Amino acid sequence: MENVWDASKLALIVYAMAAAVSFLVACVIRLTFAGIRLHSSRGATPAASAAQAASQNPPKSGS
Amino acid sequence: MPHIDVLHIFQGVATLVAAPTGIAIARIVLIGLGILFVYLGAKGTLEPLIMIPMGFGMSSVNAGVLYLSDKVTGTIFLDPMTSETGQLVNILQIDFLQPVYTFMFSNGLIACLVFMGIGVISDIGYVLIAPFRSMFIAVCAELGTVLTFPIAVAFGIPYKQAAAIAMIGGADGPMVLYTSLILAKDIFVPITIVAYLYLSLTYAVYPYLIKLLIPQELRGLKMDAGSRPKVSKAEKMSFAVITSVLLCLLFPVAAPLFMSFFLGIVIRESGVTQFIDFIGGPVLYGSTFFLGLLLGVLCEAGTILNPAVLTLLVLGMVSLLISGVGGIIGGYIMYWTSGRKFNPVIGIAGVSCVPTTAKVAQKAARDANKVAQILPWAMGASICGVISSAIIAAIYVTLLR
Repeated sequence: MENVWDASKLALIVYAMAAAVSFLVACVIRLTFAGIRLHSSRGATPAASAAQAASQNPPKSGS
Repeated sequence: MPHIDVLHIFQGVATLVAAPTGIAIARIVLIGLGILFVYLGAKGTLEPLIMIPMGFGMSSVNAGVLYLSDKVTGTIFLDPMTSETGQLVNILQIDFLQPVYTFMFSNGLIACLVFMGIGVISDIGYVLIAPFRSMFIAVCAELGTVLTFPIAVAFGIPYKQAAAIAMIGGADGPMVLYTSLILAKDIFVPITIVAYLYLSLTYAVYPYLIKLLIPQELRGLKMDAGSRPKVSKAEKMSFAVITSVLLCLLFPVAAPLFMSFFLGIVIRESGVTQFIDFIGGPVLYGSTFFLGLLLGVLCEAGTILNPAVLTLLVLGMVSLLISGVGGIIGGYIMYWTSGRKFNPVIGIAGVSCVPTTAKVAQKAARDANKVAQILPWAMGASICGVISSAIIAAIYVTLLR
């Protein structure tokens, strides 16, 4: 029969490892989320400035 | 005119009469149990998607035993014990379910297909609402998968089998099947049957556990709906791809499971309706149907009459109960740390039976307070439960294989 004490220690190690990896996944979620938000806000800022400049200096009508 | 032995015409009856008393009684009981499963599945007491094909398979296989030769009895459904190549090729041409068993079941393909389907029906956006909280609850709800392992060892069960049994606490059928196929091939049939049997009972037992452990005023606690951020498809797909690659890198042995689940999510978010309809419909439900049918057919009296089954029944129930209690403890911790704004019922959804436990949580909250809306958070915890169960399964398989 295998040792219950050893099994308990192994279970504890499994739980600790699972918790660590699970929180690593949660960090990945947060970083992905933050990265994409940052990227889209950077993309939005120049576009917003261009739109503002365009409204201040409206193009002259052509023909 | 040749002598006609009536019993040799009706071989199902003949083998029942000729069988040892224990086997004969077990066959009759399993026929009755199969019919009961079909009835309870159709009635909605047990999960119909699994229980109707499983019950039907169980009663049919135990009725359809015949003489394969003068002395040897068996069925022409499938033979799970065949491993020798020549014999397997012969059986593949005789037993009608053997191709499905050999090429889909015993290599874990069916578990991966079900997992892919679960990915397609899971909105990962719920996880992105509060990833740390959801993951914390999911880890708490894995208490059963961890504590049952030493308990099973104390019952005299070897490590590999104990780990496969403990996975029942994750309440994730494909995961139990996958783990037991790798770690405990000798008893994977009873383990998987017990797992699926109990999974359908979570819908019936967990509401009482919630009522027992959480007072009504906390069950009806309203969550702040304004704190839900909008999540784009790009964010969901990026998360799925990065997490899948990361988990495959960490646990290659469970890479098929991780890849299947996250591929399902990517397909859902890609918006390719042909794939979404195919994987979320025919693949998911076809695989679930054959999974149920094969589990039923594997419940032949000779296979199921294993002294380990009674222990499995006890340990499976213990594992699921501990996981449920663990999830509720996690819910309570979140309740206290969030300044009493978090509904502790969400904790039960950390037990990863997507979407059953999330629905159970929402129903318990709605019963206590008609305007309580906790489903988005519960779904987040439930999907995190799938991920954490897969991580624990991967660790067990990697350490004990």
